[in-house]
Order: sequence, then C-alpha cells, then structure tokens
Amino acid sequence: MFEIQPLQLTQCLLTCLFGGLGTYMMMPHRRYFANPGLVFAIGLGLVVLAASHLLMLGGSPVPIVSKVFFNIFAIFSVVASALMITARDPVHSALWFAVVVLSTSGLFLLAGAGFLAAGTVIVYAGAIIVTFLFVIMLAQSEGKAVYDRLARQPAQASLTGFILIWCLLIVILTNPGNNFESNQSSEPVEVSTRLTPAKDLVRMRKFPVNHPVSRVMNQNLTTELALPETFDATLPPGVPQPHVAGLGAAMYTTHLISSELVGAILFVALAGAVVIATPRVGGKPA
Amino acid sequence: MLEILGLLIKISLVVGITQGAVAYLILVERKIAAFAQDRIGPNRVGPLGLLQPIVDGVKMFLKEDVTPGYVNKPIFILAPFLTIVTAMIGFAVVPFGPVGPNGPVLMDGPIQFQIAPGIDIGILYIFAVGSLAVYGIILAGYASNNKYSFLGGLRSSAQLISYEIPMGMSILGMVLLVGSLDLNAIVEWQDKHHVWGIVVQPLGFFIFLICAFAETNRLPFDLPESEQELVGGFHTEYSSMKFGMFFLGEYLHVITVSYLVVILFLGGWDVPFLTDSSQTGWLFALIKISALLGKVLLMIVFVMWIRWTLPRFRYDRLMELAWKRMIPLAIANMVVTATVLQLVRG
Repeated sequence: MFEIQPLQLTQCLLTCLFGGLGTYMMMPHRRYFANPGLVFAIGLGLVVLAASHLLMLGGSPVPIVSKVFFNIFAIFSVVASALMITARDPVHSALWFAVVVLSTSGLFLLAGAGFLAAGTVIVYAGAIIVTFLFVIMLAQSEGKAVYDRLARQPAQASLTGFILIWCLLIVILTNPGNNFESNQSSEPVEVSTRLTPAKDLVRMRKFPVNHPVSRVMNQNLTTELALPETFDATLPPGVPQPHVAGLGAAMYTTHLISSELVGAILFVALAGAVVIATPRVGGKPA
Repeated sequence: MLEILGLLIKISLVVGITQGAVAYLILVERKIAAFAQDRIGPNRVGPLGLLQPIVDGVKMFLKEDVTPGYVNKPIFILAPFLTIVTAMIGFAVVPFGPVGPNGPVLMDGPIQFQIAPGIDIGILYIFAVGSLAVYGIILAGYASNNKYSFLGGLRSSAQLISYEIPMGMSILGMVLLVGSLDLNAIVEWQDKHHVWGIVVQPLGFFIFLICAFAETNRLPFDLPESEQELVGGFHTEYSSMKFGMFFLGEYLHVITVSYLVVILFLGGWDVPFLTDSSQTGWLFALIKISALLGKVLLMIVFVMWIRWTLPRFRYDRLMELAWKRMIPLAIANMVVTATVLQLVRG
C-alpha cells in the first residue's frame, strides 16, 4: 500500500506547511499586524512556493510549449484560489474565482478535453460568476459587511483545510491507478471508460428479460450502435479521435443511462425553479 | 520553429488588419449616419474625409487620461483591457479564407487562412470567449463608482447572459445538419450541398442575427450605453485611450459577429462556380477570400444601417424578447430540425 517515496512525502509535507502558513498570513485578520502589506506579500510568496512544490510532485506534459503552459496554468490556478479565499472585497474574490476557472480550463485544454474546457468557461466564467458579481454588487450597495471583510477563525480554518489537502495528496500518491505519470497520455474517451458505465450497474441488478430497463439496454446500449459520421473507428488507438464526436459517442452508448438520468434531474430542477419563482395568483402573499 | 514563426506572422497580420479596419469602420459608420440623416458627414480631412480615422486615433491618444479619485483603481484600469482581449482572442478560430489541404502552396505546405486550423470545438470556443466579454462592461460599471455607470453595467450583464442562451441554441440546427462544430466543416458542408445555411435554417438565422445585435450592444439593444438615460452608461467615467478601447472592443465584436453570420448562414467563401475543391492556387484562394470579405462587409453595413432604422428597446421588453420569444423559438427550431433530420436519414 505504502509505495510513496520519501522525497514525495517530504514535498507533500512542505506543500501543506507552506500553503497553510501562507494562506493564514494572507487572510484578512481582525487584529492588524504591524505591517499587513508585508505579511500579505510573505504569505503570497509562501503560497507560490507551495504551488511549485505541488508541481514537482507530478509530471508535466513532454513538449516544451505544453510544459510552459502547463506550469503557468497550474501555478495560476493554485495561487488564484488562495487569493480568492483571502480577498477582502467579495468582488475581488469573484474575479479571482474567474481566474481559477480560466486556468483550470486551460489545463483541460492541455489534457485534450477541449469540449470540457469550452463548457467550463461558458457555464462558470461566463454565466455563474457573472451572476455572483451581479448579486454581490446589488446586495452591497451601502458598504461591505464585517462578516464579508474579515476572516472569522483564520488559524483553525487553514489548519483544517491543509490537513485535508495533505490527506488527499497522500491518497492520490499511494493509489497506483491514479498516479500522475500513468495518466499522461490518457485520451478523454479512455478516462470515460475507467468510470463504471451505468449499464454495468444496471446489469448487476439482473432485471427480468421483459422488463423495460433490460429492453432499453439490449436495444440501445450495444456499442455497435450507429456512431456519428465523424467518429472514425478505424483509427489506431494512439491517434486522437475527433474529440467532440468521441465524447458524444461515449455519452450516448456507454453512458446513455447516466446521461438520461442527468437530463431528468435537470428537468425536475427546472420545473421546481419555475414553480418556486412564479408568484401565486389569488393565493396567500408569500 | 518555422511553424511558430508562421503563426506569429498570422497573429500579427490579423491583429494589425482588424485594428486598422476598426478605424475605418468608424468612418463608414459616420458616413452611413450622415447619409441616413441627410448630412454630408466627415469630409474635411483628406479626400472624402479618408484621413479622418487617423486623426481621430491621434486625438484619442493625446487626450488627457483622467482617472477620477473615487473609482476602484485596479478594476477601473483592468476593465478596458479585458474588453480588448476578449474581443481579440476570438479571432483565433475564425477562418479568413479557405482552409484545407488544397490551399495555395508556400514553402512546403498549403497556407491555412486561419490562426488555429482544425480546432474541433471551433464555434464553442468563440462562444466561450464571447461569454467573457461581459466582464469588461460589468467591471467598468462597478469600478466607476457612479450610479449611471453601475446601472449600465448591471443592465449589460443581464442582457448579455440572457441573449447568450438563444444565440447558442440557434446555431444547433446548423450543427446538427453538418455534424461538426468546426467552422470550416460548416462552410464545406454548404459548399458541397450547394445551399446556404439561411435557406435550410431560416429561423436559426433570424434568431442568431437578433442575438448578435444584442451581444454586440448595437442598437436597438444598446441598453448598457443608452446615453439619454444613463449619460454614457458603463463608460461615462472613461476618457482618452481607455474610452477608445471600449470603442475598439465594440467594433471588433461587430467584425467577429459578421464573420460568424456569413460563415454559418451565408455560405462563407462559397462562390457559385468554384465548388470543385481541386481548384487550388493563389487566384482561386484570392477569389474565395474576397467573396468572404465582401459578404462580411455587406453584413457590417447592414449592422450600421439597422442602427438608424430601429429605435432602442425598453428594458423590460428587451428581457421579454429574449426569454419569452427567442428561447422558445430556438428550442422549437432545434427540435424540428432534429426530428426532420432523423426522419430523412432514417
């Protein structure tokens, strides 16, 4: 179980130590230090140090251009997330959140998941964070509240958070299937097949032959289902598929039931939102 | 190494040409405005006023750059840069001419008239970048610390988010027909089937066009500016080149959107007698580029013409149009297209 190398263990420890200390120093404290600007700068330096230690733990892509961009995006996403939780102004927090989302989608792009990257930017950066900004700006028209400006328990919060991060790192590093190095060349389709497909879960339940679930399964969930024209099955495994077509094929053959389930859940949520938002005509005032 | 050099040349060409084009688009806009109002328009600087944009640019640079004391300074400075950046990077996947293995040969390969050819998610990328454009406006409004600017920023965020939804849905019909999100594939499909997107997807074209006006903040949807109610909207407090950058951003958006309309619905570089893909070489490439450019210019003139045709919407009418008219229409269009496609293909 414990295949972790001592060097990695040290780096894990250093990452969490520097990260935790740096985050604590960056937090907006109730009692001011003698020189808050200096303390913040030192904290920021420590977080950058922690981020670079984190980078050394895993491998990065091989071509030099990809390597440079990978390092930029990775450091940006970690440092911006630290800045997001320590910013004094909620509007700044939201903006740092946008930076985190953008750099994360840059990492997705480098991993060959273009669709996911574009989707993340459209949904999170383009819509959700803008809604956050909208709400923050409308709600805080007469000055910022104390609970928004100052951290309540910075020491306890950073300690707990970074103990959790340390546990997470150890688990990731000791689990051989999730090693950074072995994930290098994985295509998006391969990642999707590593999850347990919903049809296998349904098969385990052993429905009777005439049950509607098993009928749907037998008709639609065979992989010989007509794939989109752009999906080229003759390509050798190493060559990347046209990405969107491959993703669509995986979603509507291997993961059909999961997709339908997600669609149903979203539809129910939509109906619920409409019911909640519509004012009741002739009823009691809410 | 040579590849990277070629890429850098392409990027600087696109950046330079679009920025220069914007300067002259402003002249075109003023001339059309003058024509619509029975005036002469700028005609003092150079023949026919052709040097006017250059003088205007110099004026923008030389004016005093006032940063009021009550603004949120970092965000105030960041906002115009965001506007320009988000408007520029969308051009990375826009094809300016024929892309493919049959292009005119230079050095050891065909030239691709696109900065990043073969991007599988082409149009999604443009939507992703376009959805970031709202930051420039909303932050400018917030940072100005002025209630008129703030109202402009809030209006714009609501408007842009709302119109993104029908805009994204309106292209799904074309995407379903073509089976790809790549802009080149969409043009090739129209080329191959001898039919423009506007013929097979008239409703999609209509919805996309309306949303395009809303996304570029052009009249009749220029609520974020709306000078009669909000002084100057989100850019009231900006002066000199910072104001110029918002101006530049708006016109860059007009160019991007015009390219999108032409590529998606008006056949792209499709020329009636040039459908044989084996016709290669510089002459054919030039004809195709000019066809695309001509259509785009006509589209831009159309955008400017609409400005003097329709009055501005009222704010509640604007939101109603998006949520109660455009979105249901777009969903209906998508469902009908999918059904017909399934029935035809069997």
